[in-house]
Amino acid sequence: MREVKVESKHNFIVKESINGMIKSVMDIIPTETKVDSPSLIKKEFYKREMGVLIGLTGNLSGQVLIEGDKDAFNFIAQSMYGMALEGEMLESFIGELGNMISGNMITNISKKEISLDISPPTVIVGVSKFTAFENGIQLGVNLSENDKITIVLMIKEEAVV
Amino acid sequence: MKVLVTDDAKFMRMQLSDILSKIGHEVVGEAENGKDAIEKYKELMPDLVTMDITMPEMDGVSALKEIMQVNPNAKVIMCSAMGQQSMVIDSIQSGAKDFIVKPFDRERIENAISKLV
Repeated sequence: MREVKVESKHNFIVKESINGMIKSVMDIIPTETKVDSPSLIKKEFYKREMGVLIGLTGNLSGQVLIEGDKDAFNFIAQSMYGMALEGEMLESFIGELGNMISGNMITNISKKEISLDISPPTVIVGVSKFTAFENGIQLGVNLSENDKITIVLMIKEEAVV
Repeated sequence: MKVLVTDDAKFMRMQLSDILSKIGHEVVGEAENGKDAIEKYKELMPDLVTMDITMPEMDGVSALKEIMQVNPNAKVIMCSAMGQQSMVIDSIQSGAKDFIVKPFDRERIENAISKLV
């Protein structure tokens, strides 16, 4: 019986984290965004041009990856700050965007008595392959007809309750 | 007001510095983590510090506590992507004058500073 309880608590936290993430994205990006239904990733995942990785600790252990191409991130920079960015400043913005999206997600779910913390962001430039994570849930965020970013929640199986 | 801006993201330091200059304040220094902020606080003795929370080396709440020991009258405004109640309460109890959740706009910064004067 105890195991069932732990499992359901874990599922509740995962579900709330996804809902909290969707709300966070809609709140932070000021343009009309359309978030695809969450889907599971069973095999390896390829990140595109740019991305940011943030560690999650607390009631859930794992990582958040936000990836996309330069144009998609610049679309967000333009909509939030009215400017297109290049080089080091674009990379710094992507790190901060990851911080804001994950931070707001944590704030949203803290209202449901879920306690999470985030690590400072790591910005990744270039195509990379992600593998060996236990559970991946992907959320496609459509910014415009051509611009899209993907948020991947990579979650460790065990529940921390 | 002489301001020390603390954030690990260069982009955010640029944004904050830009807003602060536009509303008539002088950014006297920028720090990229909590440890750096304490050192620069002692060196520059600014009138106001903006403090991010999630940073490498030392987080913003730990840095806030140390700055308040250096100067119990220090004016520190937290500026974080995480706005959960426990974090806000911890910061205010540790001496922060306000808590701004990112993303913010110019009005929110102006409002926080006007309450200090």
